[in-house]
Amino acid sequence: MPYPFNDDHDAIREVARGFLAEWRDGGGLENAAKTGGDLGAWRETTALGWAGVAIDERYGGAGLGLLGRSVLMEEMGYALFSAPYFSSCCVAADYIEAIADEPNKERWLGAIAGGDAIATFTDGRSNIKFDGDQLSGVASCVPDAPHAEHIFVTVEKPAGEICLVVAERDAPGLSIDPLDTMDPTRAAGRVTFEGVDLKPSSILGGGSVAALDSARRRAYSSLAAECAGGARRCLDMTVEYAKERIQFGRPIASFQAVKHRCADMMVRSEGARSAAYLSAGADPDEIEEAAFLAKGYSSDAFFKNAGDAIQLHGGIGFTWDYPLHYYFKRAQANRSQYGSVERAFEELASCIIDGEGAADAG
Amino acid sequence: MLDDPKAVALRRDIGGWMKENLTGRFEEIKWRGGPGDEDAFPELRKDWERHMGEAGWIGIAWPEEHGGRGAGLLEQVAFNEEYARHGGPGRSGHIGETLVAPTLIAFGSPEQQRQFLPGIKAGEIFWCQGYSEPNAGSDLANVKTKARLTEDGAEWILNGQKIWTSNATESDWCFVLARSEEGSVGRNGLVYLLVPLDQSGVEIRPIIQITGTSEFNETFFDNARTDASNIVGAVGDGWKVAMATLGFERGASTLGQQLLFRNELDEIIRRARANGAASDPLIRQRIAKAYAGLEIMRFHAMRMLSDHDDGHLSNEAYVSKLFWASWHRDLGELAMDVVGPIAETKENGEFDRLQRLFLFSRADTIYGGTNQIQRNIIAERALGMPKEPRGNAPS
Repeated sequence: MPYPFNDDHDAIREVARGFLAEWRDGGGLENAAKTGGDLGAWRETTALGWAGVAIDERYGGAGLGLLGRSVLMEEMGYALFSAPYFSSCCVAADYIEAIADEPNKERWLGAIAGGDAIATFTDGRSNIKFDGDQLSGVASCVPDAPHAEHIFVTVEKPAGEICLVVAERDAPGLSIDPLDTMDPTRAAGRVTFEGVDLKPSSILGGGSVAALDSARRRAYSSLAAECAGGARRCLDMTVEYAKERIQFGRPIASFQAVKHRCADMMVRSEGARSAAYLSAGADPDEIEEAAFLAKGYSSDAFFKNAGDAIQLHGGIGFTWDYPLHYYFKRAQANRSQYGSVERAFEELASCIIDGEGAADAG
Repeated sequence: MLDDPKAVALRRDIGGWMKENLTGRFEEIKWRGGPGDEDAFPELRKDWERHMGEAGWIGIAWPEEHGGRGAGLLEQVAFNEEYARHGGPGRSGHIGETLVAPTLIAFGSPEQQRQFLPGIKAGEIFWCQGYSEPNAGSDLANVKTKARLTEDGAEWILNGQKIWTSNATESDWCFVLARSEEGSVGRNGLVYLLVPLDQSGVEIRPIIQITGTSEFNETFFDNARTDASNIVGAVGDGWKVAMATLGFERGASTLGQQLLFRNELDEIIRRARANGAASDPLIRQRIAKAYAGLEIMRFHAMRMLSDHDDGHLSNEAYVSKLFWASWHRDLGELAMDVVGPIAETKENGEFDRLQRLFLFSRADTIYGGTNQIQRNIIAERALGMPKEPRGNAPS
């Protein structure tokens, strides 16, 4: 099996590829784009054990770590699978793992791993007020909020400590307004908290800024894996099309102007892959830099490949009926999620230029 | 993956040896003689090769029956990485060790192996490569250098010109791809000959490069001679043998090369901190991207090395030349922008390391398959896109 994966990783990759190819060929993407997510297919994947792939075995997951999750995210990116996987099984799970107390981890990670719970997360430290009993404020754009049953929020208590709380979608005072997203394959919603009462059991634990950062870096890594898959799919679609499309009496794939651009797309998609894998397999003390570079490089690679794919398809790539625009829109959504490509590279720069370290060692 | 026990042991051995031996008079060549600097200290670097040869460090990858240790790929990686980590000088003997020797082991006669391998292993005989010609660069099969056997069949006589022969002035022998069949074209009718350079029929003219230095040369054959026995493979097999030679470079030195790159990037970061460029947001972006590219290359190499035995090139292997060459060229540009206007001036009449990086990296995207040829290879072989129709204009 190719580095850095083991037999377990290869096995889930094979199952994922088969399932997702069938989903895609069966019009899954087009259907999901109408609703911002295919919850039927999502339930099937939870039956396959995908939801808990990275969650520790003691909480009912498969314990395959970030690398295992990156396999699924890469394959989902390739098919542009449209389900609340990233929001629930990656982001929400990571913040619970990083901040919640042990009994709450057991409860919530178990629920997410089993696929019974669909969760989402928003960082409410600057916009959601928590007085110890009630939540108030507006989170203007929460990924997959229209599908989520449980909204996890980080808030600052009046004394300044950070804590993680959870609100149920049907709680009195909580409302979710679905947003019309540019990327129709991923839902988002505005979540308004108007004095939402929290029971003590909904306050899950306290944590530091460092814990929040570590959860965010894990999300970067998985998002990078999705980008790597998407970048490769844009290349594959383009090569396939260029081999079939005849102009000037030749397949356009025989023109160097087309070939060289495809070669550059391959350089980017392989680079995105390596970046995503290296961040998913990094040691805890290396993951900081690795996650920043993965987010920066891979989301940029996906976007550029999606743009090149449209260009090389010519007019057809510009139409709604042809699926490329979904990739282009997802690529932009991923690029701007958590800030720009430049932000990720600036985060990396501050590690390697301003941080203790690397450059002094040489 | 790199913690293979044999590799760990070898890493320890070479590391200890380098620490003890790259000292005294060899101190001067630490970190020297790499790409763009290959004409630095030629004699001292040859002494260093002999020194390595005496210690048994040359040819570790060769099979034991040919005097090597049969070191596997991971051991070779460990060796190269550790060698580079200690500032080991650019290897004057690498063409002989990594290209000629494996070719002779695969295709040479027992007599050729006995004649040539010991000199390479001892670090005493140096080789260069005679492939490219003025009209056979990217289109290598267009070689025109003529080889014909004398009537008594005792010697080959060569006429023609090779170009970009690296370090020819410092070499004793050259392996030459030449056309032995009158009127043949392309890959047919070629021979692979071993030619001694110290003879009146060979003239070597250094090419002064963009760097002001000359590791590249033009090599002229004017009735140059070599013994009839100095053909590798049969008459007509030249193309096959020449391609096999190129295939022996399987990436073992990649991680060593990356350590040099890392060292260059570290120096750029140090300079940027020192002169304030590190607070320029655009420079910071470029430094971060350079760092990302280097980490990606390292990971590509690990992926590549892990599946090296399944017989076909992997995706990351196809893209690696284009990736590193473009990356390194960008690094040279970044270096100049970091250093600023002072980079326009020489100290002590010589270019410094970053100036050499800037200038020499323009060659990285040309030699060993230009970026354009690399893109063709990726498109045609990795992506299965059709070849462009070939022209038939005489050249």
